[in-house]
Amino acid sequence: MRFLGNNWRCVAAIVSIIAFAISGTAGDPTPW
Amino acid sequence: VLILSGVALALVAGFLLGGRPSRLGNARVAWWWVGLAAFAAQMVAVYGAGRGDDGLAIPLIVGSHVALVVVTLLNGHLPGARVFLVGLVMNLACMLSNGGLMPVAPETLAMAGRVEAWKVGAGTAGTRVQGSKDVILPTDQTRLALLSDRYWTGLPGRLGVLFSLGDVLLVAGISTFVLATMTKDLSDAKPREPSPARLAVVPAVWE
Repeated sequence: MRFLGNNWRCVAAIVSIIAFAISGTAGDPTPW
Repeated sequence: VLILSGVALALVAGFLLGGRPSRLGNARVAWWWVGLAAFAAQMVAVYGAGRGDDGLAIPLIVGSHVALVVVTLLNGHLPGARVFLVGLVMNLACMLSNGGLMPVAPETLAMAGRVEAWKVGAGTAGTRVQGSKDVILPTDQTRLALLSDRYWTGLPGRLGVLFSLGDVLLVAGISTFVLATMTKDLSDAKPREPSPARLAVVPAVWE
């Protein structure tokens, strides 16, 4: 995870971004 | 799948352009946690108690979409936010004008091969599509049909998903946000402890 700058805040941000966007989509709310 | 692909591509592109993923963690997004709450609410609506209970599922789904619209409005200055907002409103408008769930036509489900009984039941109008926010509705009974879940990626396996025009704008908006945030420091926060990535020498050509 070095490329993330050892920053788990970044991982949390990416998860939040994905959750936010997926929740806005029309159909299947699961990312899989 | 569309969102995951869009975000993944934006992350890769941002990385290749010399952007820093850590900047995503420093971006100031007001009420960012609403996205997690909305996701949780929709999980309940689709897979939990709302699975067979429209009276619970519809308020959860509509309420979470409205919350996302409000939060996106509050963050309208962020890159991609306006495109994202238009996508949200398009999806929400179609859902609200058709009773609160996203309409999908039987022929669209057939085209995508979504004909399993566990998913679409008998395929009759008004049946909820399991594992989704969709409801089966013939096109001629659908309001704002152009905005409904009527498009199919045509890709095999898990990539073969149905989507709406609003979804396209959501992918564009969120990808823009990720890419722009990674490649330009939008945070007004003080930088924290410098990390190796922050200190990495970025080739001048990328600057």
